[in-house]
Amino acid sequence: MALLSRIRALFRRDAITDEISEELQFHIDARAEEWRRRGVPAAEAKRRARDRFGNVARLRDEGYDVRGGGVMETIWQDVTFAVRLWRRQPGFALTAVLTLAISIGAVTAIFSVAEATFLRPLPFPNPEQLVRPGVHVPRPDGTTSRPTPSLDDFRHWQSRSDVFSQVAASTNVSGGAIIDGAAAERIALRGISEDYFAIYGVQLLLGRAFTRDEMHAAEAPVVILGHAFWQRHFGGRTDVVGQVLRYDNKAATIVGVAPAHFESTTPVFVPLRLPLEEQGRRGLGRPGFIVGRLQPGLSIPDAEARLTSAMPAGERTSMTSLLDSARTSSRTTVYVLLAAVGFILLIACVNVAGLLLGRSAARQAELAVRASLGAGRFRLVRQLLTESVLLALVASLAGLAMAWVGLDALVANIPLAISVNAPVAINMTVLLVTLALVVPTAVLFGLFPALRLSKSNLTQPLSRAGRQDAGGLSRRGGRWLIGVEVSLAVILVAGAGLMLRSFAKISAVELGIATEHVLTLDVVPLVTVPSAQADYYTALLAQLRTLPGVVAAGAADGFPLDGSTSYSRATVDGQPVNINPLRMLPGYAEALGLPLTAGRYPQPGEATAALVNVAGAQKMFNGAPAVGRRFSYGQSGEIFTVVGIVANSRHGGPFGETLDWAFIPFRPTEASVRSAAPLTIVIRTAGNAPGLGERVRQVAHSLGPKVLIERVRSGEEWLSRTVVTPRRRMVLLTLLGSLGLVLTLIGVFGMTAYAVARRTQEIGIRMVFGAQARQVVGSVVRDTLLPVSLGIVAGLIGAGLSTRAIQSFLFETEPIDIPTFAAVAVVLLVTGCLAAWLPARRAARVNPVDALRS
Amino acid sequence: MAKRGAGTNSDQLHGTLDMLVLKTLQHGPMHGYAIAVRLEQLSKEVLQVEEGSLYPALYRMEARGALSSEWGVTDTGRRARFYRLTKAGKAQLAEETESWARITAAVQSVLES
Repeated sequence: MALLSRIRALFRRDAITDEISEELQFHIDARAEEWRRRGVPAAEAKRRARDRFGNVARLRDEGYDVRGGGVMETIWQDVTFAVRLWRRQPGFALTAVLTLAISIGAVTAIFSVAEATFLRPLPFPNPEQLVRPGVHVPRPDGTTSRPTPSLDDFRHWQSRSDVFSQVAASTNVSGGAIIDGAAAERIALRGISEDYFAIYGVQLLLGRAFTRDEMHAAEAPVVILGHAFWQRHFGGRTDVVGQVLRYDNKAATIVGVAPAHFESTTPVFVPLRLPLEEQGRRGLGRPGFIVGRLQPGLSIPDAEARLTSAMPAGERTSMTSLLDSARTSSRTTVYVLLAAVGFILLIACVNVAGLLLGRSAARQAELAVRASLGAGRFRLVRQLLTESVLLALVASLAGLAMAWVGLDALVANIPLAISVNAPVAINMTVLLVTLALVVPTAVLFGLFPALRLSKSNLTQPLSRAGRQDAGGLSRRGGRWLIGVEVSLAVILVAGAGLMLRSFAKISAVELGIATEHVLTLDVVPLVTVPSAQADYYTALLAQLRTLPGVVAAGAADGFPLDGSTSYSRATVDGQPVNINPLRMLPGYAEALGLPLTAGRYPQPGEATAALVNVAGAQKMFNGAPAVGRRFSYGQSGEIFTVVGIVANSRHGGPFGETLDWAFIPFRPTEASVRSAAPLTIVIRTAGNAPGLGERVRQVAHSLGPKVLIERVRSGEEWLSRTVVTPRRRMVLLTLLGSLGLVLTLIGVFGMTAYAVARRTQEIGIRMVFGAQARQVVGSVVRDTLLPVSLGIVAGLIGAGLSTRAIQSFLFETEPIDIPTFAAVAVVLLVTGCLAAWLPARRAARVNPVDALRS
Repeated sequence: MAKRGAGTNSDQLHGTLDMLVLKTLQHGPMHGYAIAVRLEQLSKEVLQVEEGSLYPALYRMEARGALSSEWGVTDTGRRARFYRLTKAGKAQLAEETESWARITAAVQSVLES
């Protein structure tokens, strides 16, 4: 290893020079000896030998350069020199390092997200073989439907070893399971088929997977524990296999524990068991998710053809690649974020180039002295490059630290679905890519000023005449740098502006529900008879209404903002109508803030009084007056009377549609008691009610039966959940846009300061001849404004071409939104002026005499 | 780092010196002084200015891998550094000898025509 031996040589300098000295001395002695043998006196012989030999010290140094750590040593010199310079100008060093570090941190963090969601979304062996099969079935009217496959479809696919090597099915068990204990807890259950772990190449941590026999409903209950659940409930004990987990009054044998990195959010896996009558029915959503692993080498079209040929005429099978769909869903977001941080990195590089250029103005004299003492151009460039590479390395370390610290916060707020199986981490790939990105950019931004500087006439700065060569920005690279930087910033800020405007439009959407001062919680008493449940809710609501600050309280088996619908059939005047029913207890509409447009709200004790909303009334009664009308609903054909009509509201948030709701009285049944399906209690308060959640909890627990309380949320929380992805997009892009703007401010400031520093003498002369401070400031600002304006124009064109990339993120906002673009131009112009005005003002305060003397 | 004399002449001189050193060493290892004496016999030109300039040349050739060196003892019992040709050095010598022969043959044929 030549490099290693050179580095070692750094610490063995004496040993190497001693060796060289000894060798050279031997030569001189041998030559002197030769002269002496020919009869020359000893002293004279020595002198002649030395004269003949040349400059021993120089030859020794030259020899050391070749033999020893010459190059390494000069690099080391350059490094210590750079560090000394930075310590003398901490402002420069700090700005440059911070600018780069922040952008490198941003690039690293965003790239690690991209790596997890886009490059490695399915961290399993041969993920390209994984497909989701689906069936297409013709409807009588000639169109085709795509019902969810049935369990029989799944078993058929499992038997097709000519197509699949493995097939696995899974489904979320609705209602989950209730684990009774000191505090009752509802957990999610995931029903899985026997190959569910094997198809992903996942080994169980403990125990075994389910067997095919265990899929039969008659078999004894068995469970596999999720890793986090196992840690929480069993303290990670390894002897759990064979023990019993009690839930829903069942005792299930634990047969295995899933590993930490696989579906860690699933608490308990159970065998996928469907009632016999459901097994052949498509479109039930059970099993919900089927994944197949294609035989190696088999293409999707071939696999589809093989399966379709075995189906009844008209039916066919289609497949989607799991990997492709995982990538498609994240592609746009990942690309946009990468582009944005790429721009940030570019701006930061331009900035640092500008800073280096600016500082080099102050260093010209120093460099000229060094050149005149014999430093070659290459040597000077290398010194400047060493400095910028060092800068990049320090900044990379700081940036990586920032990325590492900020990664969790970023992941928690990223507008992407991140699979629990592919967690985001700064891994080797990320580090390598960061390095591959940073080092060349460092060389680039270092090379630009270095070449520019070393090219200039180096003796000139030493002479007085050199001072008059006071080119403004225009004659230096600064103008280009400013233009490039501003145009990049315009694109970033335009993207951020569009997201802000879009989000403002989302926020302005009228929901029809008053979400302020609303608290909701899902409550279910763990009782065994329907009447006990009804009594409990009645008592709970009565108690809640007595709490201070509470103005209304009600309950229903759903919440308009949670996005689920359950259309079912009602009958009006003998005609069937599809409506969306919500089972409620009186007080619900008042608590939600749904205003009456006709009639009245139902009162407690009215067993058949229903509310409909305007859209529901329209649909059910075709615009005729609805109050007082009757309709029947449900299997037993209960009759309800409409007592009031409430205003429409959007379903599931600002993006939702207006649903046709019918609010009918809640009546517990055997089934609802058995599944412990909760009601959502809605409480409206007069103002802010701190601590209300805790008081409500106490009330709910104090009424006798054991109670399960879940999803305690404020109305605002519900609302923000419905817009969480647009909000995250807006926040993230606004952050990146602001970062770009701040960096541009720093950059333009730095380069203008550089130009001003070069013009100090000229400014002094002009002021001696009577120029006013105002004129000096004006000329400096004008000098900067030209590239800024050009940058804005170029940036707006760039933005016009590129904002289509985020079109799908925009809500009622065009990608080329004139008001937004105009605002962006103004913001950049003001920023540019400010950045130029600060150093200009300083220049105008210069004492002309000092300026001339400097 | 001081500017060194650069340019074609010096490069040619380096090249010639290198070749002569290789030639000198082809019969066995020698120390620096012995190489200098031998070069003097072959050509007074090469080391005319200063004998010491032989050493940077030796170090460069060693760094290139054409030579290797180790400390040894001279006939007179003094410690000295001995240089020997490496495989790469021998190959280089053969190559340069051949190309030299080609050039001289070409020049000869031009002169004789």
